[in-house]
Amino acid sequence: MATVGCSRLAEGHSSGNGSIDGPNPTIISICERETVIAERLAAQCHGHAEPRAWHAADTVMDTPPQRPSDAREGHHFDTHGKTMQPFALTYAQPPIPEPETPYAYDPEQQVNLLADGSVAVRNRALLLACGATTSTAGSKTHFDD
Amino acid sequence: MTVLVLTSAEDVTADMVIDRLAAMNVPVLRIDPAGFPHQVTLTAAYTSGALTGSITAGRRTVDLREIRSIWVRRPGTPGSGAQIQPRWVAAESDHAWYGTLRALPGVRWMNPPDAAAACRYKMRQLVLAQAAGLRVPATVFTTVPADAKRFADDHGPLVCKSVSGRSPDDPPLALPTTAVPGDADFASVTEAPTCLQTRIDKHADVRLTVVGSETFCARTDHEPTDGGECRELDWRYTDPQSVRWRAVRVPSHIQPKIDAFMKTAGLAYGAFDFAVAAEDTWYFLECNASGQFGFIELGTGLPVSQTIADWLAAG
Repeated sequence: MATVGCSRLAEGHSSGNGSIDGPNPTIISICERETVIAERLAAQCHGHAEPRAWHAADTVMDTPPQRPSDAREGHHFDTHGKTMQPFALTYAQPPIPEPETPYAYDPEQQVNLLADGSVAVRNRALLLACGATTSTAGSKTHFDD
Repeated sequence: MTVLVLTSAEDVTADMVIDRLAAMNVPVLRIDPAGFPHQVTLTAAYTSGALTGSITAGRRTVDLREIRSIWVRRPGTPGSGAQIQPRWVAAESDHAWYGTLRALPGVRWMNPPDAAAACRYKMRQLVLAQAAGLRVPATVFTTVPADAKRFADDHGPLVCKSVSGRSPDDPPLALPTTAVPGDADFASVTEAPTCLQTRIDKHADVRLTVVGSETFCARTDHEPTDGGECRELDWRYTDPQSVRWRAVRVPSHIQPKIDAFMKTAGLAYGAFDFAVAAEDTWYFLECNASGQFGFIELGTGLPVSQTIADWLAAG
Protein backbone atom coordinates (compact mmCIF):
# COMPACT_ATOMS: atom_id res chain seq x y z
CA MET A 1 0.00 0.00 0.00
CA ALA A 2 1.11 3.51 -0.63
CA THR A 3 0.22 6.42 1.55
CA VAL A 4 -0.28 9.54 -0.47
CA GLY A 5 -1.02 12.83 1.12
CA CYS A 6 -0.25 15.69 3.30
CA SER A 7 0.91 15.37 6.87
CA ARG A 8 -2.11 14.63 9.06
CA LEU A 9 -4.02 12.56 6.53
CA ALA A 10 -0.94 10.57 5.61
CA GLU A 11 -0.09 10.10 9.26
CA GLY A 12 -3.61 8.85 9.93
CA HIS A 13 -3.43 6.43 7.05
CA SER A 14 -0.07 5.05 8.04
CA SER A 15 -1.04 4.61 11.68
CA GLY A 16 -4.16 2.76 10.55
CA ASN A 17 -2.06 0.21 8.75
CA GLY A 18 -2.19 -2.25 11.62
CA SER A 19 -5.96 -2.31 11.70
CA ILE A 20 -6.36 -3.38 8.07
CA ASP A 21 -7.83 -6.82 7.63
CA GLY A 22 -5.93 -9.24 5.42
CA PRO A 23 -2.43 -10.58 5.14
CA ASN A 24 0.64 -8.43 5.66
CA PRO A 25 -0.45 -4.88 5.01
CA THR A 26 2.81 -3.20 4.17
CA ILE A 27 3.48 0.42 3.45
CA ILE A 28 5.79 0.62 0.51
CA SER A 29 5.75 4.29 -0.25
CA ILE A 30 4.92 7.62 1.33
CA CYS A 31 4.46 10.65 -0.83
CA GLU A 32 4.81 13.92 1.04
CA ARG A 33 6.04 17.31 -0.11
CA GLU A 34 7.95 17.94 3.09
CA THR A 35 10.89 15.57 3.43
CA VAL A 36 10.98 15.87 7.20
CA ILE A 37 7.36 14.80 7.50
CA ALA A 38 7.88 11.93 5.07
CA GLU A 39 10.85 10.67 7.04
CA ARG A 40 8.95 10.91 10.30
CA LEU A 41 6.06 8.93 8.84
CA ALA A 42 8.47 6.34 7.49
CA ALA A 43 10.01 5.96 10.93
CA GLN A 44 6.55 5.30 12.34
CA CYS A 45 5.99 2.48 9.92
CA HIS A 46 8.00 0.08 12.06
CA GLY A 47 10.53 -0.60 9.36
CA HIS A 48 8.06 -1.18 6.57
CA ALA A 49 9.16 1.81 4.54
CA GLU A 50 12.71 2.83 3.83
CA PRO A 51 13.37 6.45 4.77
CA ARG A 52 14.46 7.52 1.33
CA ALA A 53 13.53 10.71 -0.42
CA TRP A 54 12.74 11.48 -4.00
CA HIS A 55 12.09 14.95 -5.25
CA ALA A 56 10.39 14.18 -8.52
CA ALA A 57 7.60 11.74 -9.28
CA ASP A 58 9.31 10.31 -12.35
CA THR A 59 12.35 9.43 -10.21
CA VAL A 60 10.12 7.52 -7.83
CA MET A 61 8.62 5.62 -10.72
CA ASP A 62 12.04 4.46 -11.87
CA THR A 63 13.59 3.66 -8.50
CA PRO A 64 13.39 0.16 -7.06
CA PRO A 65 12.52 -1.36 -4.69
CA GLN A 66 9.62 0.93 -3.77
CA ARG A 67 8.05 1.06 -7.21
CA PRO A 68 4.52 2.43 -7.45
CA SER A 69 4.25 0.57 -10.75
CA ASP A 70 4.74 -2.71 -8.89
CA ALA A 71 2.06 -1.76 -6.42
CA ARG A 72 -0.36 -1.05 -9.25
CA GLU A 73 0.35 -4.48 -10.72
CA GLY A 74 -0.48 -6.17 -7.45
CA HIS A 75 3.04 -7.15 -6.50
CA HIS A 76 3.61 -7.81 -2.80
CA PHE A 77 6.56 -6.87 -0.71
CA ASP A 78 8.18 -8.33 2.33
CA THR A 79 9.16 -6.32 5.37
CA HIS A 80 12.31 -5.19 3.60
CA GLY A 81 10.38 -3.73 0.72
CA LYS A 82 11.31 -6.50 -1.71
CA THR A 83 8.90 -8.39 -3.96
CA MET A 84 7.97 -11.78 -2.50
CA GLN A 85 8.56 -14.80 -4.68
CA PRO A 86 5.92 -17.53 -4.68
CA PHE A 87 6.27 -19.95 -1.77
CA ALA A 88 6.94 -23.00 -3.92
CA LEU A 89 9.87 -21.28 -5.61
CA THR A 90 11.62 -21.19 -2.23
CA TYR A 91 12.49 -24.78 -3.10
CA ALA A 92 13.38 -24.26 -6.75
CA GLN A 93 16.69 -25.52 -8.03
CA PRO A 94 18.73 -24.89 -11.15
CA PRO A 95 17.23 -26.82 -14.04
CA ILE A 96 18.57 -30.23 -14.91
CA PRO A 97 20.46 -29.81 -18.18
CA GLU A 98 18.95 -31.60 -21.13
CA PRO A 99 21.00 -34.71 -21.86
CA GLU A 100 23.74 -34.63 -24.44
CA THR A 101 22.50 -36.93 -27.16
CA PRO A 102 24.81 -38.51 -29.72
CA TYR A 103 22.06 -38.96 -32.28
CA ALA A 104 19.96 -36.89 -34.64
CA TYR A 105 16.47 -37.18 -36.03
CA ASP A 106 16.14 -38.69 -39.48
CA PRO A 107 12.87 -37.69 -41.17
CA GLU A 108 13.12 -40.54 -43.65
CA GLN A 109 13.17 -43.26 -41.03
CA GLN A 110 11.23 -41.12 -38.53
CA VAL A 111 13.56 -42.08 -35.69
CA ASN A 112 16.83 -40.80 -34.28
CA LEU A 113 20.02 -42.27 -35.73
CA LEU A 114 23.53 -42.56 -34.43
CA ALA A 115 26.43 -41.26 -36.48
CA ASP A 116 26.94 -44.72 -38.02
CA GLY A 117 23.34 -44.72 -39.29
CA SER A 118 22.02 -47.21 -36.75
CA VAL A 119 18.78 -46.69 -34.88
CA ALA A 120 19.63 -45.07 -31.53
CA VAL A 121 17.01 -46.87 -29.42
CA ARG A 122 18.50 -50.25 -30.29
CA ASN A 123 21.56 -49.23 -28.28
CA ARG A 124 20.06 -49.58 -24.83
CA ALA A 125 23.29 -48.98 -22.94
CA LEU A 126 23.70 -45.67 -24.71
CA LEU A 127 20.13 -44.65 -23.99
CA LEU A 128 20.51 -45.43 -20.31
CA ALA A 129 23.80 -43.58 -20.15
CA CYS A 130 22.53 -40.38 -21.74
CA GLY A 131 19.32 -40.28 -19.69
CA ALA A 132 17.13 -39.11 -22.55
CA THR A 133 14.21 -41.32 -21.53
CA THR A 134 13.99 -40.22 -17.91
CA SER A 135 11.08 -38.50 -16.26
CA THR A 136 12.64 -35.05 -16.46
CA ALA A 137 13.95 -35.31 -20.03
CA GLY A 138 12.27 -32.65 -22.13
CA SER A 139 11.21 -30.61 -19.10
CA LYS A 140 11.98 -27.46 -20.98
CA THR A 141 8.94 -27.93 -23.16
CA HIS A 142 6.90 -30.57 -21.39
CA PHE A 143 5.86 -31.76 -17.98
CA ASP A 144 8.14 -33.66 -15.63
CA ASP A 145 6.35 -36.94 -15.91
CA MET B 1 -4.01 -48.27 -42.21
CA THR B 2 -1.60 -45.88 -40.52
CA VAL B 3 -0.59 -45.01 -36.99
CA LEU B 4 -0.23 -41.26 -36.53
CA VAL B 5 2.35 -40.33 -33.90
CA LEU B 6 2.29 -36.75 -32.62
CA THR B 7 5.56 -35.83 -30.96
CA SER B 8 8.71 -33.81 -31.25
CA ALA B 9 11.74 -34.97 -33.21
CA GLU B 10 13.93 -35.22 -30.11
CA ASP B 11 11.49 -37.54 -28.32
CA VAL B 12 13.65 -40.65 -28.46
CA THR B 13 11.19 -42.52 -26.23
CA ALA B 14 8.71 -42.43 -29.11
CA ASP B 15 11.38 -44.05 -31.25
CA MET B 16 11.15 -47.14 -29.06
CA VAL B 17 7.58 -47.66 -30.23
CA ILE B 18 8.05 -46.51 -33.82
CA ASP B 19 10.93 -48.94 -34.25
CA ARG B 20 8.64 -51.73 -33.06
CA LEU B 21 5.86 -50.64 -35.42
CA ALA B 22 8.34 -50.62 -38.29
CA ALA B 23 9.36 -54.18 -37.43
CA MET B 24 5.67 -55.10 -37.52
CA ASN B 25 5.34 -53.46 -40.97
CA VAL B 26 2.74 -51.05 -39.62
CA PRO B 27 2.73 -47.76 -41.55
CA VAL B 28 3.58 -44.79 -39.33
CA LEU B 29 3.43 -41.08 -39.87
CA ARG B 30 5.37 -39.18 -37.22
CA ILE B 31 4.59 -35.50 -37.01
CA ASP B 32 5.28 -32.64 -34.65
CA PRO B 33 2.20 -30.41 -34.92
CA ALA B 34 4.51 -27.47 -34.17
CA GLY B 35 5.54 -27.80 -37.81
CA PHE B 36 2.02 -27.16 -39.02
CA PRO B 37 1.34 -25.33 -41.32
CA HIS B 38 4.85 -24.80 -42.76
CA GLN B 39 6.63 -28.16 -42.53
CA VAL B 40 3.40 -30.14 -42.26
CA THR B 41 0.38 -29.54 -44.47
CA LEU B 42 -3.24 -30.50 -44.09
CA THR B 43 -6.31 -30.45 -46.27
CA ALA B 44 -9.57 -31.67 -44.79
CA ALA B 45 -12.79 -31.40 -46.75
CA TYR B 46 -16.26 -32.19 -45.55
CA THR B 47 -18.46 -32.63 -48.56
CA SER B 48 -21.51 -34.77 -49.21
CA GLY B 49 -21.38 -36.08 -45.68
CA ALA B 50 -17.83 -37.41 -45.92
CA LEU B 51 -14.60 -36.15 -44.34
CA THR B 52 -11.73 -36.54 -46.77
CA GLY B 53 -8.26 -35.13 -47.14
CA SER B 54 -4.64 -35.74 -46.33
CA ILE B 55 -1.69 -34.82 -44.16
CA THR B 56 1.77 -34.41 -45.66
CA ALA B 57 5.13 -34.17 -43.93
CA GLY B 58 8.17 -34.14 -46.17
CA ARG B 59 7.76 -36.92 -48.69
CA ARG B 60 5.14 -38.77 -46.66
CA THR B 61 1.43 -38.31 -47.19
CA VAL B 62 -1.38 -40.09 -45.44
CA ASP B 63 -5.03 -40.12 -46.47
CA LEU B 64 -7.16 -39.11 -43.49
CA ARG B 65 -9.28 -42.21 -44.00
CA GLU B 66 -6.20 -44.38 -43.53
CA ILE B 67 -5.53 -43.24 -39.97
CA ARG B 68 -6.44 -46.01 -37.55
CA SER B 69 -4.90 -44.76 -34.33
CA ILE B 70 -3.30 -41.61 -32.96
CA TRP B 71 -0.61 -41.59 -30.28
CA VAL B 72 -0.32 -38.21 -28.59
CA ARG B 73 3.15 -38.36 -27.08
CA ARG B 74 4.88 -35.00 -26.73
CA PRO B 75 3.52 -32.79 -29.47
CA GLY B 76 4.39 -29.15 -29.96
CA THR B 77 1.72 -26.53 -30.39
CA PRO B 78 0.26 -26.22 -33.89
CA GLY B 79 1.06 -22.95 -35.60
CA SER B 80 4.03 -22.14 -33.38
CA GLY B 81 6.41 -19.46 -34.50
CA ALA B 82 4.25 -17.52 -36.94
CA GLN B 83 5.65 -14.08 -37.67
CA ILE B 84 2.37 -12.35 -38.44
CA GLN B 85 -0.50 -12.48 -35.93
CA PRO B 86 1.12 -15.42 -34.09
CA ARG B 87 -1.66 -16.03 -31.56
CA TRP B 88 -4.33 -15.96 -34.22
CA VAL B 89 -2.34 -18.28 -36.48
CA ALA B 90 -1.82 -20.65 -33.53
CA ALA B 91 -5.54 -20.68 -32.75
CA GLU B 92 -6.47 -21.26 -36.38
CA SER B 93 -3.86 -24.01 -36.65
CA ASP B 94 -5.00 -25.72 -33.46
CA HIS B 95 -8.61 -25.77 -34.59
CA ALA B 96 -7.77 -26.97 -38.08
CA TRP B 97 -5.39 -29.67 -36.83
CA TYR B 98 -7.10 -31.12 -33.79
CA GLY B 99 -10.57 -30.28 -35.09
CA THR B 100 -9.91 -32.53 -38.07
CA LEU B 101 -8.30 -35.35 -36.12
CA ARG B 102 -11.06 -35.34 -33.52
CA ALA B 103 -13.62 -35.63 -36.30
CA LEU B 104 -12.09 -38.76 -37.80
CA PRO B 105 -14.47 -41.67 -37.23
CA GLY B 106 -13.39 -44.89 -35.59
CA VAL B 107 -9.90 -43.75 -34.60
CA ARG B 108 -8.28 -44.98 -31.36
CA TRP B 109 -6.54 -42.34 -29.32
CA MET B 110 -3.76 -42.86 -26.84
CA ASN B 111 -4.88 -40.75 -25.08
CA PRO B 112 -8.14 -39.03 -26.03
CA PRO B 113 -7.28 -35.31 -25.90
CA ASP B 114 -10.04 -34.32 -23.51
CA ALA B 115 -9.22 -37.15 -21.11
CA ALA B 116 -5.52 -36.31 -21.19
CA ALA B 117 -6.19 -32.61 -20.61
CA ALA B 118 -8.53 -33.30 -17.70
CA CYS B 119 -6.02 -35.68 -16.16
CA ARG B 120 -3.43 -32.93 -15.90
CA TYR B 121 -5.32 -31.44 -12.97
CA LYS B 122 -3.87 -32.78 -9.76
CA MET B 123 -6.84 -32.21 -7.49
CA ARG B 124 -9.15 -34.02 -9.89
CA GLN B 125 -6.70 -36.92 -9.97
CA LEU B 126 -6.72 -37.17 -6.20
CA VAL B 127 -10.50 -37.21 -6.09
CA LEU B 128 -10.67 -39.88 -8.82
CA ALA B 129 -8.03 -41.98 -7.10
CA GLN B 130 -9.79 -41.81 -3.76
CA ALA B 131 -13.08 -42.72 -5.44
CA ALA B 132 -11.35 -45.69 -7.07
CA GLY B 133 -10.34 -46.91 -3.63
CA LEU B 134 -6.71 -45.79 -3.63
CA ARG B 135 -5.16 -44.20 -0.57
CA VAL B 136 -4.34 -40.53 -1.10
CA PRO B 137 -2.17 -38.20 1.03
CA ALA B 138 -3.88 -35.15 2.53
CA THR B 139 -3.35 -32.31 0.08
CA VAL B 140 -4.17 -28.63 -0.05
CA PHE B 141 -3.96 -25.96 -2.72
CA THR B 142 -4.05 -22.57 -1.11
CA THR B 143 -3.28 -18.90 -1.52
CA VAL B 144 -4.12 -18.09 2.11
CA PRO B 145 -1.18 -18.14 4.55
CA ALA B 146 -3.34 -18.87 7.59
CA ASP B 147 -4.89 -21.86 5.84
CA ALA B 148 -1.47 -23.17 4.86
CA LYS B 149 -0.33 -22.85 8.47
CA ARG B 150 -3.44 -24.60 9.73
CA PHE B 151 -2.92 -27.42 7.21
CA ALA B 152 0.68 -27.78 8.36
CA ASP B 153 -0.46 -28.00 11.97
CA ASP B 154 -3.08 -30.61 11.17
CA HIS B 155 -1.35 -32.68 8.49
CA GLY B 156 2.40 -32.04 8.75
CA PRO B 157 5.14 -32.84 8.11
CA LEU B 158 4.60 -31.61 4.58
CA VAL B 159 6.10 -31.55 1.16
CA CYS B 160 5.66 -28.77 -1.38
CA LYS B 161 5.20 -29.59 -5.04
CA SER B 162 4.10 -27.92 -8.22
CA VAL B 163 0.34 -27.67 -8.71
CA SER B 164 0.61 -28.11 -12.47
CA GLY B 165 3.69 -30.28 -12.90
CA ARG B 166 5.22 -27.57 -15.04
CA SER B 167 8.67 -26.23 -14.36
CA PRO B 168 9.12 -22.44 -14.17
CA ASP B 169 10.64 -21.19 -17.42
CA ASP B 170 11.38 -17.49 -16.93
CA PRO B 171 14.10 -18.13 -15.93
CA PRO B 172 14.17 -21.94 -16.20
CA LEU B 173 14.07 -23.67 -12.81
CA ALA B 174 13.48 -27.16 -11.51
CA LEU B 175 10.87 -27.70 -8.83
CA PRO B 176 11.25 -31.09 -7.22
CA THR B 177 8.97 -32.27 -4.47
CA THR B 178 10.64 -30.84 -1.38
CA ALA B 179 10.20 -31.19 2.38
CA VAL B 180 8.73 -28.10 4.05
CA PRO B 181 10.43 -27.12 7.32
CA GLY B 182 8.23 -27.22 10.39
CA ASP B 183 8.74 -23.51 11.02
CA ALA B 184 8.04 -22.43 7.42
CA ASP B 185 6.65 -18.95 6.87
CA PHE B 186 3.71 -19.34 4.51
CA ALA B 187 3.25 -15.60 3.82
CA SER B 188 4.25 -15.93 0.19
CA VAL B 189 1.57 -18.46 -0.75
CA THR B 190 -0.32 -15.30 -1.70
CA GLU B 191 1.93 -15.01 -4.76
CA ALA B 192 0.93 -18.27 -6.48
CA PRO B 193 -1.29 -21.22 -5.63
CA THR B 194 0.74 -23.58 -3.51
CA CYS B 195 0.35 -27.34 -3.27
CA LEU B 196 1.17 -28.79 0.14
CA GLN B 197 0.85 -32.47 0.87
CA THR B 198 1.42 -34.74 3.84
CA ARG B 199 4.89 -36.20 3.57
CA ILE B 200 4.69 -39.96 3.31
CA ASP B 201 7.30 -41.83 5.29
CA LYS B 202 8.03 -44.02 2.31
CA HIS B 203 10.24 -47.03 1.96
CA ALA B 204 9.92 -47.30 -1.80
CA ASP B 205 8.59 -45.63 -4.92
CA VAL B 206 6.52 -47.41 -7.52
CA ARG B 207 6.06 -46.42 -11.16
CA LEU B 208 3.13 -48.33 -12.54
CA THR B 209 2.57 -48.02 -16.28
CA VAL B 210 -0.77 -48.95 -17.80
CA VAL B 211 -1.15 -49.64 -21.52
CA GLY B 212 -4.69 -50.60 -22.45
CA SER B 213 -5.45 -53.59 -20.27
CA GLU B 214 -1.80 -54.32 -19.44
CA THR B 215 -0.04 -53.13 -16.31
CA PHE B 216 3.72 -52.88 -15.81
CA CYS B 217 4.96 -52.32 -12.31
CA ALA B 218 8.44 -51.19 -11.29
CA ARG B 219 9.69 -50.45 -7.80
CA THR B 220 12.74 -48.79 -6.33
CA ASP B 221 13.51 -49.24 -2.64
CA HIS B 222 15.26 -46.62 -0.57
CA GLU B 223 17.79 -46.92 2.17
CA PRO B 224 16.88 -44.81 5.20
CA THR B 225 19.22 -42.03 6.25
CA ASP B 226 20.91 -42.01 9.64
CA GLY B 227 17.93 -40.07 10.93
CA GLY B 228 15.60 -42.80 9.73
CA GLU B 229 14.07 -40.67 7.00
CA CYS B 230 13.75 -41.67 3.39
CA ARG B 231 16.64 -40.29 1.39
CA GLU B 232 14.98 -40.07 -2.01
CA LEU B 233 12.10 -37.64 -1.70
CA ASP B 234 11.77 -37.15 -5.45
CA TRP B 235 13.47 -39.80 -7.55
CA ARG B 236 12.91 -37.77 -10.72
CA TYR B 237 15.60 -35.33 -9.63
CA THR B 238 18.24 -37.75 -8.45
CA ASP B 239 20.97 -39.22 -10.58
CA PRO B 240 19.12 -41.69 -12.84
CA GLN B 241 22.06 -44.07 -12.54
CA SER B 242 21.53 -44.25 -8.78
CA VAL B 243 17.86 -45.28 -8.97
CA ARG B 244 17.53 -49.03 -9.46
CA TRP B 245 14.12 -50.10 -10.73
CA ARG B 246 13.02 -53.72 -10.56
CA ALA B 247 9.93 -55.31 -11.97
CA VAL B 248 7.40 -56.42 -9.35
CA ARG B 249 3.88 -57.79 -9.39
CA VAL B 250 1.00 -55.46 -8.79
CA PRO B 251 -0.64 -56.30 -5.48
CA SER B 252 -3.97 -57.98 -6.10
CA HIS B 253 -5.85 -55.36 -4.10
CA ILE B 254 -4.31 -52.50 -6.13
CA GLN B 255 -5.03 -53.71 -9.68
CA PRO B 256 -8.84 -53.29 -9.63
CA LYS B 257 -8.41 -49.77 -8.26
CA ILE B 258 -6.05 -48.90 -11.10
CA ASP B 259 -8.54 -50.30 -13.59
CA ALA B 260 -11.31 -48.22 -12.03
CA PHE B 261 -9.20 -45.07 -12.20
CA MET B 262 -8.31 -45.64 -15.85
CA LYS B 263 -11.92 -46.29 -16.78
CA THR B 264 -13.23 -43.21 -15.00
CA ALA B 265 -10.44 -41.02 -16.37
CA GLY B 266 -11.01 -42.33 -19.90
CA LEU B 267 -7.32 -43.05 -20.42
CA ALA B 268 -5.70 -45.72 -22.59
CA TYR B 269 -2.25 -44.98 -21.16
CA GLY B 270 -1.20 -43.79 -17.74
CA ALA B 271 1.99 -43.74 -15.67
CA PHE B 272 1.15 -43.81 -11.98
CA ASP B 273 3.44 -42.80 -9.15
CA PHE B 274 2.96 -44.35 -5.73
CA ALA B 275 4.82 -43.92 -2.47
CA VAL B 276 5.03 -47.15 -0.51
CA ALA B 277 5.03 -46.79 3.26
CA ALA B 278 5.26 -49.26 6.10
CA GLU B 279 3.32 -52.51 5.84
CA ASP B 280 3.38 -52.12 2.07
CA THR B 281 0.80 -49.34 2.14
CA TRP B 282 0.54 -47.69 -1.25
CA TYR B 283 -0.22 -43.97 -1.51
CA PHE B 284 -1.32 -42.58 -4.84
CA LEU B 285 0.71 -39.52 -5.81
CA GLU B 286 -0.25 -38.88 -9.41
CA CYS B 287 -1.07 -40.34 -12.80
CA ASN B 288 0.83 -38.93 -15.78
CA ALA B 289 -1.21 -39.30 -18.95
CA SER B 290 1.95 -38.79 -21.03
CA GLY B 291 4.36 -40.25 -18.54
CA GLN B 292 7.79 -41.40 -19.59
CA PHE B 293 8.29 -45.14 -19.80
CA GLY B 294 11.63 -45.58 -21.55
CA PHE B 295 13.68 -45.54 -18.36
CA ILE B 296 11.44 -48.21 -16.86
CA GLU B 297 11.71 -50.47 -19.88
CA LEU B 298 15.46 -49.98 -20.10
CA GLY B 299 15.94 -50.60 -16.40
CA THR B 300 13.65 -53.59 -15.95
CA GLY B 301 13.06 -55.15 -19.34
CA LEU B 302 9.31 -54.71 -19.01
CA PRO B 303 7.93 -54.68 -22.59
CA VAL B 304 6.11 -51.36 -22.45
CA SER B 305 7.03 -50.13 -25.94
CA GLN B 306 5.98 -53.38 -27.61
CA THR B 307 2.66 -53.28 -25.80
CA ILE B 308 2.05 -49.71 -26.92
CA ALA B 309 2.91 -50.69 -30.48
CA ASP B 310 0.51 -53.63 -30.29
CA TRP B 311 -2.25 -51.40 -28.92
CA LEU B 312 -1.78 -48.81 -31.67
CA ALA B 313 -1.59 -51.44 -34.41
CA ALA B 314 -4.77 -53.14 -33.23
CA GLY B 315 -6.91 -50.14 -34.02
